[in-house]
Amino acid sequence: MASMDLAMSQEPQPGFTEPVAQSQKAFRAVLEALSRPGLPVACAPFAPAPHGLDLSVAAILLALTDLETPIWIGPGFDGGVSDWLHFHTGAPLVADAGQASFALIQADGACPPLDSFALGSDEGPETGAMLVVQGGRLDTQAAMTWRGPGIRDRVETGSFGLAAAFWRQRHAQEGLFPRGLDLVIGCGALVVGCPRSTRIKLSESA
Amino acid sequence: MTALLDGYNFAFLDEQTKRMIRRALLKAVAIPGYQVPFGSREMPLPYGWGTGGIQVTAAVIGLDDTLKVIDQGADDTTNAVSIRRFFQRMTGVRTTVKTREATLIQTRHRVPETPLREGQILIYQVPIPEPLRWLEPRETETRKMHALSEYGAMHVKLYEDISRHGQVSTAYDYPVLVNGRYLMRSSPIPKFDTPKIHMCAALQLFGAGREKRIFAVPPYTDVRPLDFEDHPFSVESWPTSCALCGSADSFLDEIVLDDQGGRMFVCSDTDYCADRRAAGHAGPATTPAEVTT
Repeated sequence: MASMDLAMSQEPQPGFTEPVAQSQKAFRAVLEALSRPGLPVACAPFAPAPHGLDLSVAAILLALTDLETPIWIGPGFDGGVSDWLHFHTGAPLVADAGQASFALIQADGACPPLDSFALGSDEGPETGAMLVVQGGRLDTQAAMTWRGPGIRDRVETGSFGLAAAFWRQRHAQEGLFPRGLDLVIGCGALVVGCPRSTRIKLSESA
Repeated sequence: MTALLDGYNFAFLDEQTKRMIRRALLKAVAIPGYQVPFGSREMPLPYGWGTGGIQVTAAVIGLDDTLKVIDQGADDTTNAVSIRRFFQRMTGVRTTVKTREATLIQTRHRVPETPLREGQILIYQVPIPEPLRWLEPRETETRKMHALSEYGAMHVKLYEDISRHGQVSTAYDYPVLVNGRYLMRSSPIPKFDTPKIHMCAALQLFGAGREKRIFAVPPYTDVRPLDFEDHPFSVESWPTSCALCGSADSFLDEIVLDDQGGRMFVCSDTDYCADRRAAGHAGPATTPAEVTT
């Protein structure tokens, strides 16, 4: 287990300074983000962010994970991230993405096929994983149209720094609803939600 | 002002419990209308007194919030008063009776008359979350029915109502289809309030403490009452308007005045009624002099 190497690695960087208030703020930001897909929501209850993480991503992980939430960390992260997270939350790290209830990926990095994550079952869709995306960008170039619960009519969005292939896979999962993945995309001190209920249409050029 | 109690975590629940409820809430928002199981805790009041709503509020509330609590539309009834006092003592957050000023509104059995806005959260106390429970007692079966979106039994129930009584006899807790997918009980709100759930600008969260379920309707979500083309859904109406504020389009409570058959109808939503009276509206039971007080 990665935690066994804790003593060998560098000291984990600090987490929340006021855990009760800061967890609540981070949670409310994610709640708002998933309730209003596509709308960037401020999520920076503490600073500085450790180990090269976005402020929002660090806060979301600290606020929502604990010993009950296996987490899978994708490639491209500072080696200190897993120790830091395990130290502060006790969340068990898993090597198999399908076992994780939270998964952390880099927006511009490699991501395994989306169906290798836990998608839940028709009778228990809540076991579908939450995919936390680090390093998202609020680009102005429209790449998609989103519709669905939480969106009054439709919302035009950019790709948030994620590859078109990623969004095509996400679009392909819409038929699985209520099974699916819930995305929270960290963009610095902002977070954007894309729950499984959001229906995505990619622009022609994307 | 009630003093903050020492020795308790902010909002009573421990942080581990809040995280568990928060994760359930996020899944509930992502799957509108689906009942997410959660580890409901013992609360310092019995099941049936709003423990589901209280746990949801406790997991959501922060120091920046302004809390309103209503019971059947009123801010000053037992359940509302004790829950509001509970959160004053456990959080110290600002409380209000004004629907417009509140960021969080915990409710038992009503949706406020004043339209809700973006950024507000309405938290319902739910006794029985499963819409199919009186048609199918087995949880294993109802889970399967939801998985398959198999809601024929509910349509049959509504049809039998019509064939027996000439109309759908469900006056509260009216079954609705959320986002075209999940059948949901609208908590026991009167069917008068059911259309307010549809495309509401506020986030709506539902907590059932005894039954250990959380579900949600995100803002701007399609929520349709089940009905038939030739028997469309309709809401209650009254032969009169509110005796105090004269409102003809709010939900009215009947109040018995004496044993001679005397009665009056007044708004169930006390804040809405008080607002209207403050704005100069008056009903048949008020004289202009009373309005100014």
